[in-house]
Amino acid sequence: MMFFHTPEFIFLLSILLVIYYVVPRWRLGVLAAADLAFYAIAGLGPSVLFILITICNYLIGLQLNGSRKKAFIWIGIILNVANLLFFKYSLFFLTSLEKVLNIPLIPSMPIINNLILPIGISFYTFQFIAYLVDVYKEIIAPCKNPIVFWVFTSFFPHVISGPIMRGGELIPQVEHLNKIRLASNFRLGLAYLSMGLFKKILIADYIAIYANDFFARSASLGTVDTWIAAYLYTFQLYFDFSAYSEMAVGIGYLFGIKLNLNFRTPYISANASEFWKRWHITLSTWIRDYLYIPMGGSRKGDLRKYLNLFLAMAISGLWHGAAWTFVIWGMYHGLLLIGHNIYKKGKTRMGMHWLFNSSIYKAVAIFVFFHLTCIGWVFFRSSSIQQALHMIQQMLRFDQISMVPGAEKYLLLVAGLFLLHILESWMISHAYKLSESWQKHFPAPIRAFIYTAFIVILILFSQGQASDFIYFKF
Amino acid sequence: MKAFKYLVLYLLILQLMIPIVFSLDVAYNHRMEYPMVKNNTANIDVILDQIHRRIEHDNVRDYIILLGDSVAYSGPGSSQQSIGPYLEQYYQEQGEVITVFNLAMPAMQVGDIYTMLLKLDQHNISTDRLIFNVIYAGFAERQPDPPIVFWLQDDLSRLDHTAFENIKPALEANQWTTEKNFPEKVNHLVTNNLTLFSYKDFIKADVIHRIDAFHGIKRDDSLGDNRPWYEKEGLKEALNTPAYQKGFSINAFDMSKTNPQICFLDKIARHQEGKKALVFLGPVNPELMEQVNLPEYQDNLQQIQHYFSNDDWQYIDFHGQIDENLFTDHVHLIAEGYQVLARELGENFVIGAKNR
Repeated sequence: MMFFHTPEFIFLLSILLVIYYVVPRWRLGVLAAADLAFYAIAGLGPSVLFILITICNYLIGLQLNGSRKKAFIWIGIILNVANLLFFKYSLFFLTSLEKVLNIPLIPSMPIINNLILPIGISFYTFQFIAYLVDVYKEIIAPCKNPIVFWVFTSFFPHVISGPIMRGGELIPQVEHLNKIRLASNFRLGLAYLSMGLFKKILIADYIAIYANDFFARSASLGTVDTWIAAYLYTFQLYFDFSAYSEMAVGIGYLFGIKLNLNFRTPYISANASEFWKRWHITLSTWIRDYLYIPMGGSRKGDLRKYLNLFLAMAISGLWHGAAWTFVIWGMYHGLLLIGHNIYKKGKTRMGMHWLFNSSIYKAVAIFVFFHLTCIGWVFFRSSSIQQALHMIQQMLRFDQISMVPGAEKYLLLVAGLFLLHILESWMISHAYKLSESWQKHFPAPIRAFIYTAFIVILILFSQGQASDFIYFKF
Repeated sequence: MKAFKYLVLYLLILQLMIPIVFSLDVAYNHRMEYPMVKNNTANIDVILDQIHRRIEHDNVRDYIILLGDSVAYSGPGSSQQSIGPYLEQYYQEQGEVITVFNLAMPAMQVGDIYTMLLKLDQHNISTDRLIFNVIYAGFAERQPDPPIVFWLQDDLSRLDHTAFENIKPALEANQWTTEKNFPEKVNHLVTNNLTLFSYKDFIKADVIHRIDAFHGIKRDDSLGDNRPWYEKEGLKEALNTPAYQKGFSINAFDMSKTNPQICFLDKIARHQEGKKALVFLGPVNPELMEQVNLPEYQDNLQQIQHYFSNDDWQYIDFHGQIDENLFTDHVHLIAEGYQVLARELGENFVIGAKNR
């Protein structure tokens, strides 16, 4: 696997960009080959599977205009879901069944034990389903050009961990690659790429050292330490995944292709509904459009709406990983969403808009919801339900709160990370003005000097072994 | 676009300036900095580049290359108490100014020593005067560890691919992945050629040294406890375990070319044809390894002696040459021990004007 923050990737990306812009008429072919090569590095088996499933979806897509479109859409959905279930969940389901029935099932099926999770399968499965449904609903026309379809599915910046793109967003861009000019969005691409590198190399990888250490010692941690573990992982996950996503968006822009942003500083959310508009946006909108709404959404009364929310979030949890900890994490967020919906109704009845619109209320809501999110991440990170429950139990022992020596520096670090998060939010909302002043007030030699310093710092602080991204295993 | 041009210019300046700005001392102080090389063996190339630079810049004419394992490295004591400075001191007493470049590394095997010679050639550093150590355990059967090339497998693959292919099965038996994948190859290409990457550890170490110096902190580069062996509790028991004992097996050595040790020693002999070379067999503490007095062990020592008498190089066997009290464990010495060893080497490796 080749990671975005490695020297080899940056080197090969630079060569690719030169070819891409020097020979515009080769762009589609160059990208198609680069996508194939990028995925092939992950292994021959997963690549063959990916190519086969892409061909199947391409052919099914072409059939969705005809009279048997209903049959084909079901074939398409079943094919994609079955592929995902087989490779990602076979072992999980069999293990769970073994426990329920108390019968050894796995020893008789060695193939299941030896299955390797094809990289990116969760993401490309959702992308294929979205494409087929959109064609079926005639939101988009089926893609006729197989090379365009291949680049749409396998565009290397997003193939492994998203953002999950819709056919209507990406296919038209791929069809018009030759119209892209070098200047357009190149600077924006570099900015996103730099932001991602900064988050991954200078923040996420360093927090990971501490977070892993705390989680490894979770059984012996007290209340404050367990909260620190949860806080650290909360930020590690955000900085790691948003780093990947921003690098993907940045690389997309370098090729003149706009990929959707996945994060909008989620930890300043005041409630669960807002959180899911800020966290892994392309997944949450996919869940909304292709799961929650088809299940009935909010159209069939409150109870049904809550059930749909709960089920959609539980499935979203399961999508993340074949383990009950992920399912519980999803269900927990389902409950938070239901809770927020009920609370929202109560708020409307109560009136008191002056209170709910005040800054203090907003700050308290952010504080409370941030801590609820941290509790959720404990399930997400823990290797077992027992570990998660033990940690949460520790976190809720408020009577045992006492500062352990050395805890202050971690709490300070967490506070710093939160401030950084707020700063990021401010920078994004003032990005245009900041960029303008940067260009206007700092002459080119000074800007270049700061860029050079940034590159030097990234190289010096990058850790020896390239760390992967947390979301790569999903 | 203008800023981009400046950026390229600044990066070019860095590429050219970094090797000049950073001195050898950051990674080499009478011997290579073990932690730095252990974590990234590519740093050896940077050290060799810097040594070459120093040789050229200071016009160093008389120098000795010292290679070997932790004995030549002079562990576990500090760099100030290592063979290099003692040997230089000895020559100084004889009125000679000789520089010793100690490029030994703990756990270095004969295959590594051979690879180091090829690397030295690549970096235009003369191996005309070479001292290296071998150890008794090196001739014993490998089961399959330690691999005959412990650190420098990638370099051997690059510099003598035939030799590498011959030992590939043994490396694989030691769980060493012999083939690099495409991203690893590209990574190697980039990080070895861009000085910002290749000097990364140097730059970091330099910053740390400066911070330490600012705070008046003096670094101790010892690798471990350097007290005499008789002061260390439980040492004898620890050494009596199979992990240590297997290296001192009294089974008759296979001195044919099927023994990889002999195979690489032959290669070293060919490489050093017409050059001055001294090999020394590291001492063993008879108080801790009692089998050294057994006739089978002595026969094996004779075999080694016989092997080295066949080639055009000097050979010293330090068995029985170092007082037991100068050992810190079964094979390593305390500072005074290395001083004695260095003196003996100096007396045997004469570098007078006549010998140049």
